[in-house]
This record gives sequence, C-alpha cells and structure tokens, in this order.
Amino acid sequence: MMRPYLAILVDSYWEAVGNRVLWALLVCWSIVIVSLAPFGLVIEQSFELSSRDVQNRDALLQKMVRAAKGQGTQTAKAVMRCLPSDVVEDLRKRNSDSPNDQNSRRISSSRIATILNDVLDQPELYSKESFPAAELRSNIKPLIERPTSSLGREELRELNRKLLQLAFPSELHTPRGELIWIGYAGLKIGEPLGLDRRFLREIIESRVLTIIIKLGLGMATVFVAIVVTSPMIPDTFKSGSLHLLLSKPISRPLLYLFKFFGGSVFVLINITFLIVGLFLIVGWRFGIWNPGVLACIPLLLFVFIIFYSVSALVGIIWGNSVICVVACLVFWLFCTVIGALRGGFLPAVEIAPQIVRFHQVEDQLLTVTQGGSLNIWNKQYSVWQPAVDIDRMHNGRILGPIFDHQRQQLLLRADERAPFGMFWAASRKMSIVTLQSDNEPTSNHAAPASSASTSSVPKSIEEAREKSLWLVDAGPELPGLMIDFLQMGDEVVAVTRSEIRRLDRTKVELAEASEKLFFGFRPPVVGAADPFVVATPSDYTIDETVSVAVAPNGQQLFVYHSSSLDVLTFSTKTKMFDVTYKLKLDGEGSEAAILAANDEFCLVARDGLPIKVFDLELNELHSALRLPQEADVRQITSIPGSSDFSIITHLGDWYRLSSKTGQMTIVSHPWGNQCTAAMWIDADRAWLGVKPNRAVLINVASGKVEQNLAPVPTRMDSFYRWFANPLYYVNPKPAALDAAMSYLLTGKDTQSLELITTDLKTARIELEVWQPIISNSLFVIVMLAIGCIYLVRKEF
Amino acid sequence: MTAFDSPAIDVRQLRKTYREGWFFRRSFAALQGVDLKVRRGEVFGLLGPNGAGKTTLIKILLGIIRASSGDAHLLGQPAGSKAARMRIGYLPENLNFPSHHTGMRALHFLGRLSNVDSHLLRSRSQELIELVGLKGREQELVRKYSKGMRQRLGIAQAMLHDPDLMIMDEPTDGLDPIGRSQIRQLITYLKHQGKTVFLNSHILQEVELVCDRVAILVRGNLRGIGTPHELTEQLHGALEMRLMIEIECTAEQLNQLSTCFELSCEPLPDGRRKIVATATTQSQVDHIIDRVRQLGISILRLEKIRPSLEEVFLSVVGNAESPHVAVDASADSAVS
Repeated sequence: MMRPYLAILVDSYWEAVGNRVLWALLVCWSIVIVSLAPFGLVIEQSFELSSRDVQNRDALLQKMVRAAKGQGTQTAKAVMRCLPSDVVEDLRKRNSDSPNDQNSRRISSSRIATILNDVLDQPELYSKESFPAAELRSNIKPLIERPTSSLGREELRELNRKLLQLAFPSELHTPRGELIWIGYAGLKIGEPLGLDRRFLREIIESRVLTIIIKLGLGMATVFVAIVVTSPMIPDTFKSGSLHLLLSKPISRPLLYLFKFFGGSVFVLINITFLIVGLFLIVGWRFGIWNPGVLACIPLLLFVFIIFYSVSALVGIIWGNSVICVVACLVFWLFCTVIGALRGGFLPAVEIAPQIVRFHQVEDQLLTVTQGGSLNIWNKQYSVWQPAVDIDRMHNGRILGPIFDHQRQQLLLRADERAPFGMFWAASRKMSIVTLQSDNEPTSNHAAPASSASTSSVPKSIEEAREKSLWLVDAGPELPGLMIDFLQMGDEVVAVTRSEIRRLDRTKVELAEASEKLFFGFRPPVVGAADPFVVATPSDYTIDETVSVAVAPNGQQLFVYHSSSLDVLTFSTKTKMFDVTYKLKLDGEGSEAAILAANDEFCLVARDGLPIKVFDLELNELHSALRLPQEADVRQITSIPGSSDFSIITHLGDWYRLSSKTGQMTIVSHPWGNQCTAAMWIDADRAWLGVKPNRAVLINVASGKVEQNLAPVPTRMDSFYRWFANPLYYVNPKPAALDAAMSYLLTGKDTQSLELITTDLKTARIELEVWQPIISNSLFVIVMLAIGCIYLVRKEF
Repeated sequence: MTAFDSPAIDVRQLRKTYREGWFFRRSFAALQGVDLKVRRGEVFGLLGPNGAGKTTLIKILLGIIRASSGDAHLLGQPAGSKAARMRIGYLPENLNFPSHHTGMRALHFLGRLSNVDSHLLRSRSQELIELVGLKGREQELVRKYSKGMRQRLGIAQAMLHDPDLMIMDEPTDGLDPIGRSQIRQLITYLKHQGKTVFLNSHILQEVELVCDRVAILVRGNLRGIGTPHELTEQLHGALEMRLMIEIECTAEQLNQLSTCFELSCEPLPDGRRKIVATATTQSQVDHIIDRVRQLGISILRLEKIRPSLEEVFLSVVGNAESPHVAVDASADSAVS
C-alpha cells in the first residue's frame, strides 16, 4: 500500500542527488572539513611561563623592583639573585611605586615571563633560608629533599616554577605543568592558552561547537539546502507533470508529504556528512568525543524542515522557486526580529532583577540582585528602590554588603561587568554607606533615613525606582582579584584568588568630614595604606578557583580549592587564620563550587558533581547526594535552629536537606520552580526570592505567605510580559532550537551567561529544550496540514 | 449492468463551472450538460476547438477536478475514484518528465505509482521501451529526448499497468508527420489489444484515421457523436453533395459555363482547371455534365465528393460561433 509513496520518497532523494549543487556543496564541505582537520591542541608538559601566567603585571613588577633594591621578601630577593645582572640593574633603576612610568622602558607581561623563564634553569634558586615555606608544601617537598644536582632538567624547571609561585603567589597564576596551544598541523598558533583542559573543553563544547554548528552549519547548510530543494515542490506541481501524477491511484496529501520528506532526505545526507566530519575532527584533534555533536544531526534537519515547510507551502500555492526562497528569507527575518526583541529584553527584565541574596540590616530587608543592585522595598510605591547610588545599568556585581553594627555602616564592593560577562571592571575602593542610628526607620518597609540618605522623598513611582536612598562614600582600597567579601563575627574578610585578607580597622582612617564638599565635590575617604592585611599563614596559598563559607559561629572559614576542603580557624588573639585540617575531594579541582556550613556539617556543591556532606566533628565525608534532574546548585544556606540546609537550584526548585539523614524534601510554596534565593529567619520562616523580582516571607510549616513584596511592573516589564514574550511563544522559533543544541552539547539544561563557569551563584538561563521543539513541530504540522488541505481542494 | 458490461466511459449531464476571483467572482461554464458513452474496445475521438471543454472533461474523468453537477463513471467506477484510476492509462498534454529521470527510471517511478510489482515492472518496462521504439535510448535523460520520443515514452508509461482504458490528451500535438504516424500505429496496436482509447485532439485527420467513433464538443456542448460517416450523415443538411470535375477549357468557355450553374474554379497545372459544383440530385448531376459537354469541354476527371470530417467539424463549429449560441463568450479563456 505504501509502495507508491516510498517510490516518491526515493525519487525525491534521487532528484536532489541529481542536483549539481549537492555535489558542489559536498565538495565545498569536504574542503572545509579537510582544512579544519589539522586544527588541534598542542600540549607540552612544561613549567615555562607565558604572558598569560602573569596575573597582576604591575604588582609583580613592583615586587621585583623592590627585591632588586634589596627590599621585600626573601623569596623575591632569591629570585633576583638568579636573574642576569643587566635585568636586575634595569629593575633597580625603576620607581618602586610605578615601575612602568614614562621615564623607563615599558616592561610587558610577555617580557616578564621571558625574564622569569631564565630562572627556571638555575640550580641555585632554592635555598632553605630563602624559601622556608617550601618544606611545608607537599608538592615541592619531594623535589627539595633530593640534591639539586640529581634533578633532571624538567624536574629542576618544575621546582623553580613552584618556587617562583611561592615568591609571587598572587602575581602569577598557579602552574599547571602543561602548556596548551591551538595548533595547526602540529604548529603552535600564538601564545599558549591560559586555560586548563576542563575549561577548554567547556568553552569548546558550550561556545565554539555551538557557534560552528549554529552559524557555520545551521544557517549556511540550511539556507543552501533550501535553495537547492526549493524547486522540487513547484516542479512537481507544474501542470505537465502534475496531471500525470494525479492520474495515478495515489493520495494528494501523501504525494505532497512524501515529496516533502524526500527533499529532507537530501539535507539529512549533507548534514550527516558535515556533522560526522566535525565530530571526528573534534574527537581526534581535541580529544573531545562528544556524542551530543552527532545528536545535532536530527536537530539541524528539524531546523531545515521548519524552513522547508514554509518553502513547500509557498511552492504549491505560487509554483515558483524564487518566491519560495524569498518567503523563507522573510520568515527567517521575522523569526529573528521576534527572537532578538525578546532576547534584548530578557537579561534586563528576567535575569538582572532576580534577587540573589537577602540581607537583614537591623529591621530593614535589603536585596542584592543579579544585575548588581542593592535594593530596598519602597512601601509607598510598591517598588524596589536602589539603596545606594551605584549605577551599573543592570550589569554588575555586588560583594557584600556587610553591616557594621558598631559604626552603623554598610560595607560593600560594587563592580561593573564587561558586555560579554567575562571580565569584571573591578572597583578599587570599598563602598561605605553610613547609616545614622538616631534616625532609624521604625517600620520594615518605610523608607529609611540616614545621614547619607538623599534628602527628598521620591515624588513619583519612576523617581522611586531610580533615586537611590543612600549616598556611598569611597572607602579604603580593596585587594586585587577579590572574589568574596565576608563577615566573620566582628571581622571583615576579603577572599582573593591567592589568599585571605582581613580588614584592619586600625589602619582605616575614615575622613570625619565626609559630608564636606570640596569645590562642590565630595572628596574620597582616604584610608591608610593597604588596610586589608593577609590573614592566612605565609605557607598557605589558595588556587584561582576558590569558594568559601563561614561557619555560623563566625570563627571557622571553609575554603574549597584544588579539590581540597580546608577548614581555617580564626584566632582572635593573633588575628590570623590557622589551617585546622584539610579534606581531599575527588574532581579536577577547578570546578566552580558553593559551600555552606553549620555547626555540624559542611556542604560542598560543585559544578556537575554530587553534593558532598562533611561531618565536621568526625572530619570525614558523611554522604554524597545528587539533586533531582541532575540540577546544579545556585544557593545553599544553613537553616537557623536546625541542622538542615536550604538548597535552591538553577532550575528554580527549593529543597530542604536534612544533613543527618541525607533526605531531601521539596519546600512547598505557591511559586513552583521560580525561586532565586532564600534567607531563613528561623527554622520555619524564610524570605524567598521569586522570579523575576518578587520577595515573599513564607512560613514553610504552615504554608502561609506572611508578606508578598511584588513590585509594580515597569513599562518595559509590561511590554515584555504582555507583548514581546507572548509573541515570541506564539511565533515559530527555529533559532530557539539553539537551546536544545546547547543541551545536547553540554548535557546541561541551564546555560551560564559567562564564558566559563567560575561562580555557581550566577544566574543562568534555563534552556528551553522541549518548548521550541514542541512549538516548532506544531508549526510544521500546521504548515503541512494547510498544504495538504490546499492540495485536496485545489483544482489544477 | 455489471462492471464488465458497463461502458468504458459513461458521462451524464456533466456540468462544470469555473469560478475566479476573490471578491467579484466570475463564473465560466466549461461543460454544459454533456452526455457521453464510450464503448469498451473502441477508439473514441473527442473533437473540439480550443476552449471547447475537452481537457476539462478529461480532468473530471481523472478526478483532477470535480464536476459541478452530473455523473461520470469509468469502467463502472465513479470517475476520479482510486479504483477507476487503477485501470486508466493517461497521456497528458504537454507531458513533462522530471529532469533527473532517464527513460527507464521514469517508467520505474511511474509504474510504482501505479502499484505495479517490481518484478513485473522490470519486464514490462523492457517490453514497452521496445514497443515504442526507444530501445537503446532508455538510459538517456528524458530532457535530452525529442518531443516525439517523450510522447512515445508517455504512451509507454500509460501502458505500464496494462490499463483497460487509455486517455490521451492531444497525443500528436507538436509532432512531425513521422512522429504522428508512430503514435497512430501505437493507437492501432492498443485497439488490437482490445483496449479502449479515448482520444482528445483537434487534429481532425488523425482522428478520422484512427477513431471508431467521434464526438464534437463545442463550448461545453456536445454537438454530435458517432462514426465519422454517421456524423457526416447526421450533418448532411449542412453539407450538400458536391461534384468535382477536372476539365481543360478556355476562359471564354469557363465564363459560359458559369452562367449555366453555380461553380467554384481552381486552376491546375498544364492549363487544366478544377471546378466544384453543388448537386443534390442525380438530374442535377446529369444537367451539369450535359452543359459541360455541350460547350465542347473535355472532362478529364469526375468525382462525387463526400464531406470530410474537417468540413463537418468546421460547419458545426461555424454554426456554434454564430451569435444565437447561448454560451458565455468569456469561457474561452477558462477552458483549455
């Protein structure tokens, strides 16, 4: 019964195969694949420095200049002794504070790397006196226990590189022991990549492959395919051939459908050829054997089918292949505009306003948003009002705030963010908001007043949305490469990528007359030099990817880095941290992580790995558990008054984890998987952040919502919610299949906005994997159904 | 009446009105109550000028378009039904094969559409390729074929599933005399095979040569049906018997002759002339011959002419063109 239709399918395939364009295309694709094949990674086991290993050039140069002048640490001086005399002489002549000033020749990161590489082969670099901490390092100890003369060349270079790291811990990146280049036919291209293999794989899978498949194959192949296949339907329904076909004992709709899918077979061949080629190249040359690449074949075919359904319908109505191609382009343009419209609003309306942290300051509730705003609820207008005058256009980051009860100050760090989300334009000064205690607001949601607050009360809802409540003073300089800002009891701690520093208040001199204006400008508060002092032992260094958590007692700090969970105890006497113990975990060590602890347990949630629960009394692993749907953790907090933890996932689910039993229960509330953050007030009540920017105080025991702070939507919110978003959902969206493609390539159903995931707390876009597939399938079905009905009714 | 006894084509009061335009819809009556029966095993010719409704009738028979009213049955099955289409071979006007088809691939493809078994299809294709004279050319792309070759391939594909009824729309259109002759031979072959052939053409000589019966369709109305002889008889009133005399005479003799009876004259080579005169009775024939002889003119050849199908056709079509025929004049454009 299906024989005639199979004949149509096969004939359509041969029709496409008979097309010269197909062969031209296959030749082109072959050339592309062959030319791409020599690309690969060139990996060398090496401890040599490259410019990318220099983390902070200016700080490094300063340290080197000081050492050259006989100042600074013993380790740096030891390095100087191994440098050529002319180099040391050059450094000595430079200004210690600004070595790269106009009077001297500029030294680049690349030049510094070259200078330090000379040290790698020096057998006399190590001495016990110069590097006393080396013996404490498990990764250096085996090398220094042997006589230097017995070390091989590579062993010596490894030792010296690690000694260099000891000398310049925060100025150089941690040595990886291998250098990775992008290579072509074995030849290195450019500088070594400053990435390890895991990050490289993440970038290749989530970005490079997606871009190649989406743009290179998706758009190019699909549009070429449409140009090739567009005459098939009009030619079939031309009078000379159509009447012959219609006289045969076959159904018109099935004739049309099989002709349609026959054309798709041709595209399937093209796409398969390309994707399999790409899969083999990426696997063979980069060692990434990702079956998700192959799974993109049906997805790309589906993209083609969406466009082809438009082309085919136009083909049977107008019978002209040129009109078919034009219609496809118009359709593509329309979908792109709608997608771009929605995509343009999404970060500002859906992502940036998400509440990521709550802070209870006295009786006021402050929220920190994903976009880097510190907000306070304005009851009069029912909107979130900016608490501080930091304008980052919804694209920044706030570390803190920390509330200093004694001084009635809020301390925070506000950074701006580069457009692509990878680089932070770090602010150098700590932001300080001084609250006046004698004018405290009496109500939680009344507009609070302070000495720094702006004098006038907002007169309109627009003003309430934009006008900040408090002015910010510039505080002391912050340490570089800072990743977290924490409060430990009365101490303020800054976690950097190399060490942990404590704010030494005795060194801070806040200007008393901060209110005084100097020629109409507020002068910055001048602090004492380097008020953030290193609080970790000199032999304790931490690696670049680090996550920390503070125990509720404010005395212990938990640090996860390089697959190690370090428990540091703060001594109020020495004002220093002591490493209490270390626990070794599995994993590569460079995974982004979130930590949380209570008095009994510490949770370590890492990107793509199960959550590890450590028993702090026994100092051992208690349990390991995975979240439902393999979801990634977005926030973990301890629940006061219990040993439980609250977990919020990137899918927006809210769980309560009993750390003793390992039992995880979903917290019941009316907002489904829309949660962004939670702050527990006691064992039963919590503030919950609900997408996009609602805050609710909920009693989880009774399920009662005690307060619901839902801001009045802005015009932009309304436009997005009532026009752009519904239009996007109704509209067919071939481009939205990118989400499914990303899911196939990375295996994750959320996508970070950052190039590399270094912070699990950052909001992610939930990949709409199935919704576009369903809506696009419905669209294709509708288009084909219209075509079938048209054909049945049409009198040719 | 069983399906086997039923006529090959049975059309009753068939009407078709085309409608055009989205808002101010215009209607065109392409068929206006056509009654037609085609017997099994005969070669039937449907004649008509352009726009007469011939192709419309065929499209309705094949189910390509729907009739506005009336009934049409093919081989006892409703026209357009799958069962009817299973038993029909069709050669369309302006036949177009896909450009990627070779002769043999076209036959295989179209044979499969007719649900012919693969094994049988292979042997039938070979036979038919030989029959239509395309042996040795079957692996060439059809786009390289001449028009005659394409038509013969078209006939081969129509015969693939051994249909009982062949419908051919303008089979010799655009062909040279050799091509026409080949098509005529194929039709004759089909007739000898016992197949019913329904032929749609406006090349009257072809129809007259191969058709057992003929119908004339003018502006959606059937004006006559029967054998070519019967048609002439039916339309005898319009076409009187004529006498053709080939003579050798001077201009003066010819002038004298024209005073005796009405004639038309056509000069021939070597000083001969052909005169044609109307003679409805034998006495009129005798009178004309007497007058010619009385003037001393030698009769070189004498022939009584029966009206040709073309003349009958032209006569019918000419009558239809007269203003009293109540057919919408704009139908021409819609019916092709």
